[in-house]
Amino acid sequence: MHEAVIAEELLKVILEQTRVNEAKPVVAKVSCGHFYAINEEVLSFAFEAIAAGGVCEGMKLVVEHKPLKAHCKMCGIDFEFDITKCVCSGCGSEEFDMFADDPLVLEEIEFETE
Amino acid sequence: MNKKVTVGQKILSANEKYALENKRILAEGKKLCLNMISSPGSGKTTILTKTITDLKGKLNIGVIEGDVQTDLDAERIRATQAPAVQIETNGSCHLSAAQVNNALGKLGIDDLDLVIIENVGNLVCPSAFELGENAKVVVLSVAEGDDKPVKYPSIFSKSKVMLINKIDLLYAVDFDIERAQNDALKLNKDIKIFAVSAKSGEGMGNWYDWLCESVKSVKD
Repeated sequence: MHEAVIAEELLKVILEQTRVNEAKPVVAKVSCGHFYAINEEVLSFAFEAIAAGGVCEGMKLVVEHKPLKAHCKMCGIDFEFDITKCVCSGCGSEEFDMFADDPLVLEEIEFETE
Repeated sequence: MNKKVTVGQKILSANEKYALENKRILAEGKKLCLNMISSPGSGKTTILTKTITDLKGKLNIGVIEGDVQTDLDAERIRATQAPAVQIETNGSCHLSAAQVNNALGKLGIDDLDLVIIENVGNLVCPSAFELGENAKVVVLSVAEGDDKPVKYPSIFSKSKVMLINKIDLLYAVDFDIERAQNDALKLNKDIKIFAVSAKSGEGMGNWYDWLCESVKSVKD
């Protein structure tokens, strides 16, 4: 449900960009780390509701979930961390350091051109 | 062809700005600040009232209470003579750094050693919003089940402390403490785990020791 607040903040950033680019935005690409627990459907639903009647009405949101990553202290590889397993995907070791979760970022906006 | 514009801007930067400001205020005053997170009914407020009462004379504790509605929790804290400010979120599922910034002003932190923020009862949303705290404390009560660290990994991986509360009820529920501990440690090998009963007081001494040491390390 925190998606509602995130949708509001996202709308503000898109509106700023829309003023700068002087065009109608149609698609926004958002990326986030695993731990932001953002559901694309819920975010899109909240965004649709607050964007209604404005320049962002009808926009499509695309959310890219960045996987968790860790560094294995045994075999030395960086690997995508499967939270249901909690072991190195290379050697199966439980000795690893987690990397920080990726931030929540508005990556790109697609604007309509005449 | 539509025009694609690369933006690369953080979306929660407004919250982050307030979180940094809170951090600055707290660091300047050398106050320890904890953000306590759990599902509703895990016993956060009871842990706080017990902690405040037992540490009276040792630590001055102030509390910021977050709830969707009512100031019932702040009233419970004030009954211990400790200062408390209630934030009613009116439907929102988490506290934001701006709300905490406002509450810190109302609370007045000069005479305090420790500020504890009791977040809205929810294991998912609060973990995405930094408030400017030194550490998150996750509370899990045994009646909720030992599978919570696996089901809600975000908060267990971001917390410095995990309190397993209501251990006086262990006889009545199938809660495997070792499983909950091991699952939390797999996600977060540095997490400190204290099994407690805020009702009977069992195990609370370890939590108090951690609090006193952490307050001291912020002051030094």
